Amino acid sequence: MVDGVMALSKRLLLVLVVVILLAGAVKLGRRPSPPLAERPRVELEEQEIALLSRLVYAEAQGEPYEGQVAVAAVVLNRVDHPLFPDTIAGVIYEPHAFTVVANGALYQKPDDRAQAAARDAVDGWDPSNGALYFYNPALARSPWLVSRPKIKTIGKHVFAK
Amino acid sequence: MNRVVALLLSIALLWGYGLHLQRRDLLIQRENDYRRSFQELAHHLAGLEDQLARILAARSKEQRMLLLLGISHDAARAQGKLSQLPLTVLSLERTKELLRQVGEYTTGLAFDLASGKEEDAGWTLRSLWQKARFINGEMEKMQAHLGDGPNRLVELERVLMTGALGPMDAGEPADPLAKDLIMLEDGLGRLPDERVPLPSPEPTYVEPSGPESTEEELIRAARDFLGPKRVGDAPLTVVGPSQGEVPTYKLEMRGQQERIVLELTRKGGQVVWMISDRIIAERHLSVEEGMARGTAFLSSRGLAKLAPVFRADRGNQVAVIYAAKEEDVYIYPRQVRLRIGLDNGDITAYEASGLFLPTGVDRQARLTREEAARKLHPALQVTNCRLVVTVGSRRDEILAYEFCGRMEDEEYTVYINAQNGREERISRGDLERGFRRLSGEGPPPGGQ
Repeated sequence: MVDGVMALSKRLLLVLVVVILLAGAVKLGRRPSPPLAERPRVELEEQEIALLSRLVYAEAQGEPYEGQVAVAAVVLNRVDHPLFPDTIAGVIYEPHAFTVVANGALYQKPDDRAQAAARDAVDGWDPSNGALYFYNPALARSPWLVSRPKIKTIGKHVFAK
Repeated sequence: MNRVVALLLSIALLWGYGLHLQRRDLLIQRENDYRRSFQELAHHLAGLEDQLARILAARSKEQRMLLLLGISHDAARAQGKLSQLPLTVLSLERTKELLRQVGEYTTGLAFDLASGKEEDAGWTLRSLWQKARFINGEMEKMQAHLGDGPNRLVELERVLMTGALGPMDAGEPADPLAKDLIMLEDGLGRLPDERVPLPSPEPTYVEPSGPESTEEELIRAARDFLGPKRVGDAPLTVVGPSQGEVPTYKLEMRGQQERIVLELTRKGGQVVWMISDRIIAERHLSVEEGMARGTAFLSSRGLAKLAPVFRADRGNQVAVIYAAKEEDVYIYPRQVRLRIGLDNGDITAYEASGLFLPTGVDRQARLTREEAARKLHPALQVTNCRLVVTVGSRRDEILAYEFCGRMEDEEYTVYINAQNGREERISRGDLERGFRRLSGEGPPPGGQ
């Protein structure tokens, strides 16, 4: 009992400052989505894709194009993952999941590239190769996040499971 | 003079007090939102526990069905409420995993019960119930700690986000709620772990066999894939290794018009995906011409056994999903996606991770098309039908007849399992995630 508290409180200590994305287990990929949906899915409404574009723009403007698609894909990977909310809005607005939601940067108007990137991710492209987290190693202070199994780096972002 | 100072001072004080009130109101509002989610979470967890206990004693089909539906409903609601609380840093993986298992398992049991398949689920349900009972006990402790002060959840949020958990040397976080949550996860991990029979949510990708490709081989494969004309003398380089469904190397081509990124398998040097960042500003080809370019591209890359099954118009581009077609069966999981620029017909994006998914499902249909069609709603006017391998209602791979049809001005697609006649899935419209279904073989002979 005491061991557990100590071990876990230690883990809590680690979770400092700006955490971009958190919690959850590992899933391989969401690739075969559209015509293979594992459960009847509601069509992704244009409004949800617009919200996704905003997140891409706020989180990844100035990043390489495939890095922008990858950020959108992380959101969709979470939607399909059992340990995360199952809507785009649920994932994006999950408390403290994304810094740009907390600081209001999400409400900027996305440019065409961010919109195309969000659309590509919805259409099934995932340059993150199934990532559930991404962070900027120059800013991330959470050792827990940094310790997630790393998949790759695109531009300034590290993508992880 | 003094009067002026006094006046200014009181204005400043009033203004400051006003700000304080505003901030307090915002905090209270936030606390209220969190409390509501918390209480509703507790409500659904209690309902979950209660129904799991009751189903152990239920005998009739009717009662069991009602309870199964109630349990899966409460599991889904509890999951939703949990994700509205500012607990993201704590991850709570075990709690969330339990809710997922309960939800999926009971939904599956309800499906089995309805289709007359009876399996003894008592042991698994009992183990899930014990875990739910444990969670509810912990929730009660948290409820008691919530009564301690006015802004408990906002304070918990602050503590979690700043890492200000109190004296660490003491070994315990100072915030009682944070401690409760940690104990909850810890305790769940200590309960006996009964394996819940659920299909794996993770598809298993298979890496191609053979020796690891050299840098030269990778560059040659990428050049062949893109076509020598498109690459020209643009630099094409290996960026580095990457990890994903299968181990890959990332390559990059920096051309005049476009920057292309590709990932190739380390063994065999096969392209898994490719994306160009070129913006397509003009349109000279029709969608059909574009698709013809796509089909030609695939067959020249040794992928001739693929047939277009879904399509989406994307401005000056068209996105097409091709599926493997073997002896008139469309294998949906083995798919390739293309995005084609309608200015010059170039492939602007490619996605083929589905080719690395093994499919083991029996391709021999036990029902004929006519027999399967008899399982459909009699008013459904079938316009198209094809035999497909797809993912069924239980997330398992199935062989099914895909019937597209109309009923009262609505379009539907219904999947009938070709082995056992089960109605696996019904979707509405001819759109799936923004992709339009391309026609299959035409209506089944007779019957309709």
